[in-house]
Amino acid sequence: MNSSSPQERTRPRQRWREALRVGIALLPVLMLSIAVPFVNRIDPRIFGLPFVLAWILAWVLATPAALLLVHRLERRP
Amino acid sequence: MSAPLLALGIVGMVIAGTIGFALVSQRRFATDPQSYIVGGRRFGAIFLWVLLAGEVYTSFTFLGAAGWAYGYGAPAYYILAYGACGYVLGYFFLPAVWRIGKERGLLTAPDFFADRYANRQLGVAVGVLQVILTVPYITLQLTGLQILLSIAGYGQIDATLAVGIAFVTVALFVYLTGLRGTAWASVIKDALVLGAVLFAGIAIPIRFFGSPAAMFTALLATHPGRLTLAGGTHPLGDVWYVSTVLLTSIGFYMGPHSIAAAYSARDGETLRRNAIFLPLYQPVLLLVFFAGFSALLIVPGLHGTQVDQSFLLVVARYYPAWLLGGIAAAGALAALVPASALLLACGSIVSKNILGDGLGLAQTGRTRLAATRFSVLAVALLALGLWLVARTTLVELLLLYYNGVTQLMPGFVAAFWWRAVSAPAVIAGIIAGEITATVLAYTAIPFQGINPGLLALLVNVTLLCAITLLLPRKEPAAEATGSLP
Repeated sequence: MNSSSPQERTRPRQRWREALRVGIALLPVLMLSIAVPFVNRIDPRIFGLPFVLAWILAWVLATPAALLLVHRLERRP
Repeated sequence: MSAPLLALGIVGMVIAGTIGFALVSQRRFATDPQSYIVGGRRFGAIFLWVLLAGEVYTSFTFLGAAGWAYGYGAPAYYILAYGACGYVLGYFFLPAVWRIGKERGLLTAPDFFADRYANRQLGVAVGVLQVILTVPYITLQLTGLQILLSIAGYGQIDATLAVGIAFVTVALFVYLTGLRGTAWASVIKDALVLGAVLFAGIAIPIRFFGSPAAMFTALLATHPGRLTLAGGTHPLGDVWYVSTVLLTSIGFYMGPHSIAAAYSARDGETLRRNAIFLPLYQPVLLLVFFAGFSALLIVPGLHGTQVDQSFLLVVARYYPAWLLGGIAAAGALAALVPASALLLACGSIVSKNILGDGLGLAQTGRTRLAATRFSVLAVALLALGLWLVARTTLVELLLLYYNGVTQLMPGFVAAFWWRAVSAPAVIAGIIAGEITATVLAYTAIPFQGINPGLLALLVNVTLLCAITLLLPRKEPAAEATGSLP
């Protein structure tokens, strides 16, 4: 956000961390959108749910975990 | 006591009780626009969680999602998926919007445009657009309420008058309390909806099929192919699913009431925590699907707009009247609480952006508060009038609203990342996007199965980029725009 000199030195590392955060956040989004046509089937059924519905439910439930991780990575190394 | 009277009596008492509870919870009524419209920017994590859940899970969640499961099957899965994707975007996006709102004293979504692009007319234009899109979205809630009330009356009453009375009561409630009232009413609404959905999604399948899993087995036997998406570019197929999830998650927070809720947070951290934990509310929708799928097996043969009644008909036919009353009451709150948030957001846009910035009226604190209150009533009457004249099905209106508000996203994002974008580029993109969305919605030309809203968004972004590259904004931004965290 600001460009004072101590932050200047840690830039490359921060950039890598930023990329990791965005990647982790995008994972559930991709799994809930473009991945779904590839798992669009009934079997194997999970707890009786069609596989595609169970897949979507699992990634919806994984979203808070992913965002929590993103949130932790925002803090210090 | 007759069954319709008992069920409707319960609905009426729950609505009155919720409003009474929310009124009693107000320590004092708002005396300035900021505390009326955005709760004084003091909402903590739990209160904001309740408010956002109260706004997001509307009567569409209750009736429309079950109706989609009943009428279409697998395409309904998008409703479960897009919320989670929307929260991911919100995690990055809302704290940044909040910070600018706090620093610049913004109250409405159009304020953000007017401030970031240093152009008051842009704020007026975005305000007019949001009101035009949001009023039909309010009427959508009235249609939902009517369905609930007529089922609770076992089809023996004309619910129009009851809908009118309930809605005017809610408008007066918003007039008095503002955003705090909506947040307190959400406490009861969220709890009741959770109870009703747990019943409908678990108890109904258990009673009729033994378990939800057995219900799916029965459904697979009678409706093979219903529980997976149609392949490729078929209508409501794979391509439609992916494009719709992307589009609706982009538009998730673009409603005027959602931006107001973001402003109401105590700090950015509160919004981040909310984005992390709100997806945990989404599985409620899975239970709504269970209810809709069960209804397909128990009361088959509903068509068109009737599908919105799906599992409520099951309750009306096979369960006691008090239970129907309780579930209809939860549904009625799911229509009225979001409607109150929408009324407030619309009223504040009318008073702040249209009357204030556009026409130069009511610009000081006290007169602005009064103007906002009266605008809330005016918007309510407008919505009620529109609803009496033209009623459409739930999903048609919802898609039009979503496709419309989503067109604001490029302007929001560009405000953070691309300084060369000018107000004319933003408004040209929005107008082109709206026209494309409307034309595609009415002509219904299938375009490889892609959701027309996403195509409209593409037109919008292309035009915004083209104008910006040809005619970049010359004057520097008002001050440092900052970046997304």
